[in-house]
Amino acid sequence: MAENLRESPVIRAEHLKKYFPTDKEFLRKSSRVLKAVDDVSLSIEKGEIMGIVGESGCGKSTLGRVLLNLTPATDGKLFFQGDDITGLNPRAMKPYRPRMQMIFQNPFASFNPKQRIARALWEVGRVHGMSADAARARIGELMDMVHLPLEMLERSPAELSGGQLQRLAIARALVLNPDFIVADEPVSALDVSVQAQILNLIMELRARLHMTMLFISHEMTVVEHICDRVAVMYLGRIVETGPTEALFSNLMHPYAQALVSAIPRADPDEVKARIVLEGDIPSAIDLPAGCRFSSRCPRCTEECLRSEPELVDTGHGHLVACHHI
Amino acid sequence: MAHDRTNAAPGALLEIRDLKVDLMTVRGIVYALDGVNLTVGAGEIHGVVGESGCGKSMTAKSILRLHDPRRCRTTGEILFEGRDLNRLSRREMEKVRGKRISMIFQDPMVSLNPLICVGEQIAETIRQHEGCSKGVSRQRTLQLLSQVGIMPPEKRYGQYPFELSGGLQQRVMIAIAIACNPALLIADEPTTALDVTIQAQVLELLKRLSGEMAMSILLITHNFGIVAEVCDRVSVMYAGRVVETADARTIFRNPCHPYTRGLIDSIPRPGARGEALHTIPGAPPQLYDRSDACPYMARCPHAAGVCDARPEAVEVEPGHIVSCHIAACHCVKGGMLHG
Ligand SMILES: Nc1ncnc2c1ncn2[C@@H]1O[C@H](COP(=O)(O)OP(=O)(O)O)[C@@H](O)[C@H]1O
Ligand SMILES: Nc1ncnc2c1ncn2[C@@H]1O[C@H](COP(=O)(O)OP(=O)(O)O)[C@@H](O)[C@H]1O
Ligand code: SF4
Ligand SMILES: [Mg+2]
Ligand SMILES: [Mg+2]
Repeated sequence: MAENLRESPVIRAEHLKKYFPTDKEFLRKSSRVLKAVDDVSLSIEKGEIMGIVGESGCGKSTLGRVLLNLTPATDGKLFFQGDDITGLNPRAMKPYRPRMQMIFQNPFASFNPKQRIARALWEVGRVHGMSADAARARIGELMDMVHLPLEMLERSPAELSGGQLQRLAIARALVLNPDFIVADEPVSALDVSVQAQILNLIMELRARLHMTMLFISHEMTVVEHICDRVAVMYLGRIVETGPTEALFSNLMHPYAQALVSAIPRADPDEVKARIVLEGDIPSAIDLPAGCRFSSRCPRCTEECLRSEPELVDTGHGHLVACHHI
Repeated sequence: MAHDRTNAAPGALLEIRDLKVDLMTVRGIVYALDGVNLTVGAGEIHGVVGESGCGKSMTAKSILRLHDPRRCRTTGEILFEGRDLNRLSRREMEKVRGKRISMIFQDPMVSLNPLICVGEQIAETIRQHEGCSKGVSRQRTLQLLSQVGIMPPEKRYGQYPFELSGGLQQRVMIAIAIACNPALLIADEPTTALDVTIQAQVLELLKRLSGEMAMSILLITHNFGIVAEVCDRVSVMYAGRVVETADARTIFRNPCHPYTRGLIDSIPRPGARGEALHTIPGAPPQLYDRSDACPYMARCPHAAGVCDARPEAVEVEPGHIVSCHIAACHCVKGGMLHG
């Protein structure tokens, strides 16, 4: 049962794992596993935006889906507002569903092209038992919050721009006033001027509604701008995490440092030490023994090849998983 | 004034003059390019930036005449190595394509043949253009593979595209593109689909090749960071026109066009966490009609009565050209470009 509700984080994960079986290969007896999420622990407090950042394939989206129990974890524990929801089947998840929502990267794919916007928003409320009047009032309120005119409800998705649709996707996620939102790369498909509009909207709504959000992105600058805390993932694991300011003012993990140094900065006068990582991201199927970053790490030593580093607290909640800290 | 000069300006490799492209679509005519002026210097990396739909890819494809001529109307001049590409016969154009000017795209898999190993695809290109023997083309391919950092070349030669990562596939495309020592490489968002650490590698490669081969690159991107890091000069496009051109440093230190400023200001900066970002209201116009007004007027914070007329290109300081009535008054340091 719930512990003291006031103190429970909105979402808490302990040693979460998500493994996928891979296709059986020729001449191989057993199929191997792909470790998409491999021992991730995190918790997000009410009103907090937690950022997950890393390159493609590092397990960000899978983590988001596992946290919402949209796909069952292979191992680990999951708590939502203090309730243990580990392994709950869709039926048992039903009471929790309206309290968790998701926003996706591609706003054009998030809406049924044959349906008017009003219908798409309306359905969310009705399915979860809102009265027609309440749904109508709520939608009106939300259109105001995302700064779109009510007339837009009568349009179909094809008539709207990516930025407008992403605002509407946010409005739809808010219809039921959820306690937790996973936003999976919500600004990655947008032009920079539109991206700025959506980031401003998220910051505004957070201040107003005290939303709790997992914000997934592959862009360090975006995550740094809007998140309270950030976790950097590499091949299924968090390699560095901490409060945003503390983390970015003192990045310690060699991967996190390389990731930041690889961002082309829109400032020709910025002097920076470029750390160029050699080679490609290895697959999450055949992980190297020892540290999973060892194959690309400029600071790799023998110890790194032998044992996998644990996340260690360097103070003030800034955790790093590297032997050379 | 009629330009019948077919030589580009001194030091220029490519000079696009008043390029207009109208597309016939089911929904009507799209005035996709509306008088593009753009000059790429010899050996220069020239960036083209702007929001999606502003005409960057259209400009690139027009240079190589990759459009379906039945569905588009093109006017203007594309001066390259002493000739106007728009006036070349199809056969003459074939000789320019891939040999003097080559192009790479965002998604390498669109251009790579999935059924042929990558080494053979490069060798085939070399044989086609240079008519050399199998042995010679193989040697040259191995050399190219190592030049673009695909190691070890002997092992990679026989691999198929699907066996390579996105970053390596893009390197294969680059190898094919530079096989005949082109004078100009057009790269349309070459790193947009890549992860940032791989993007950094590919950008380094392009920069190195441009230097080694004295090859100009027209680098299309929506990322101002890339402009700052690899470009010598840059043209900012909006609604099918180039609205500002300058040195890459100048565009950041003294952006004059309100659109350029708006774009640069909307980029999140480190150290400003939680601050409201600058935004540009509205969206780029649909290009279904051609208007005389400044195309940015509807979104521009400085728009005034004069903006109802099309702004001329003005050189506000040497090499820095802006098409904006207001910027022309406030940023002018040099003289006017067109009288
Ligand atoms: N349903 C699935 N079946 C098999 N493998 C999957 C599945 N979903 C994701 N993966 C794999 O898990 C890894 C992590 O993927 P993902 O979470 O989508 O990463 P990210 O969002 O960080 O790009 C990748 O290697 C991906 O191929
Ligand atoms: N096949 C097409 N049919 C209709 N419009 C097109 C087509 N291709 C391009 N356009 C239009 O031409 C303009 C320029 O497109 P493009 O050059 O692809 O932009 P960018 O590369 O800058 O994103 C856009 O407004 C786009 O809508
Ligand atoms: S010409 Fe006018 S509308 Fe156009 S950018 Fe300049 S100030 Fe703005
Ligand atoms: Mg993802
Ligand atoms: Mg394009």
